[in-house]
Amino acid sequence: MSALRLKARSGRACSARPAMIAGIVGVVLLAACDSPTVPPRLIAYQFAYEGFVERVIYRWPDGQTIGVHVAPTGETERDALLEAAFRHTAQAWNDAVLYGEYRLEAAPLQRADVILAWANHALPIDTSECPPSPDGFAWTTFCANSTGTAIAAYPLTVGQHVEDGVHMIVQVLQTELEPDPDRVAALVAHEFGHVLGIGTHPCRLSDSGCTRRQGAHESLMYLGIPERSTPSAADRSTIELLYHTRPDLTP
Amino acid sequence: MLLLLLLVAPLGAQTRPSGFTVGLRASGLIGTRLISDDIGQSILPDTLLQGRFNRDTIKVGMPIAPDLTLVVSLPLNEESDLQLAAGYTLGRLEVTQADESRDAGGAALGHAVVSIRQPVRGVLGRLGIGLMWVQGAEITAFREMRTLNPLIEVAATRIWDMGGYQVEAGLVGQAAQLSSAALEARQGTSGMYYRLGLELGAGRRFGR
Repeated sequence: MSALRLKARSGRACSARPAMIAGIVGVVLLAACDSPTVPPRLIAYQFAYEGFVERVIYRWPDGQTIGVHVAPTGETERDALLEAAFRHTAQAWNDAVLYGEYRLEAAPLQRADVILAWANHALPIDTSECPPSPDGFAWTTFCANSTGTAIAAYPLTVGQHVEDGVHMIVQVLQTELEPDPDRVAALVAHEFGHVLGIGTHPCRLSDSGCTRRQGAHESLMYLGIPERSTPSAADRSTIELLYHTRPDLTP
Repeated sequence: MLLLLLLVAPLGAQTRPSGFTVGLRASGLIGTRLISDDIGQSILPDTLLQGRFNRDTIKVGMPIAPDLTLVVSLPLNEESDLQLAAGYTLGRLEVTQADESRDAGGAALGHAVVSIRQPVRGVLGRLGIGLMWVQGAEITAFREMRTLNPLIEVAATRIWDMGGYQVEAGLVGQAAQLSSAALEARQGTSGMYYRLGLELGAGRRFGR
């Protein structure tokens, strides 16, 4: 469904009174307990992008706020649809990690790391070095820099130059006159799984040939039109695993 | 609650003086980690990650934080008080994994405690039970925190009377059992959180 493009080399006091003594004993007994712990999760699936030569792990640096600019078209209804889809996506993926490993947040173009736009809308960035390749109903595009050490930034074509720049583009194709908001939300949520660093589509574990390391019983990241618009338990485990794994590429 | 009943029962038979004291306590608290998470013990799929997965325990804490508590003291007899206290600890959450740590936004630890205060070997000993909760945390681990996190408090204080006012200073320790819906959704369990601090307070007596 999505074209994930990666062009170059592509995580007491003492007491004399019995009651007080009883209290102290209670505290001491409590002290024998341990601090809050989080036991095992469901198994994650393989998330590294399969490049031509090797697998590449890409993600945003720990604790980063990822600014997302929803590119306006000037058409109120379409803009509102995409903005609502992003709000849903940000909430769903931000809730997927427990410790603030990343945070998706709406941002103006000048502070954007990612642009979310309708596919037929002109982008406010120069994409000549890393053009999007439309594929399916939605796609995510980014490229490594010339040395293959980082995700490259797209130069802006409007306003002044910004140092960090936009690193990824998510585009959604509008195929219907009255698009289904739930479907748009699911497509955007799926693509932001790629934006965050899930570079694969897990297979369905019920399918023959799908191994446990490649697949999931349920996933937002299946290839094809998403059947859900929020990360599954397997997706959550995967994104947690990813954000505690040292990446090859970061913006 | 049983502990408080044990304390209150023998005191109830004695003469109860009238009046009450309202005061504020400020504390500086040092706490243990709020959460420990061995994230990599079972979700690691295979060797695909080439040893790059960080297996170190994730710890979330609020290392040192100020606390402000409103206290109402009701005398039970000439020596002992029943205290009702509620307050907040405001601080920054810190996520640590191995040698790396980062700020994870602010949070407030709320607490409400019912305690008995009585003289113990030259100081005033305080023993109480109550509730603790987490508010305003940005990170998901504290989302939908269980509202009834039980807490136990012990303290040793000294009090100085200054006319109608009281000034107190002491040591306080708290232990709370914490959990949240987010942790439980990941098959998480509750655990203990401990903190210790110095407290300074001032109050005014009302009535006789």
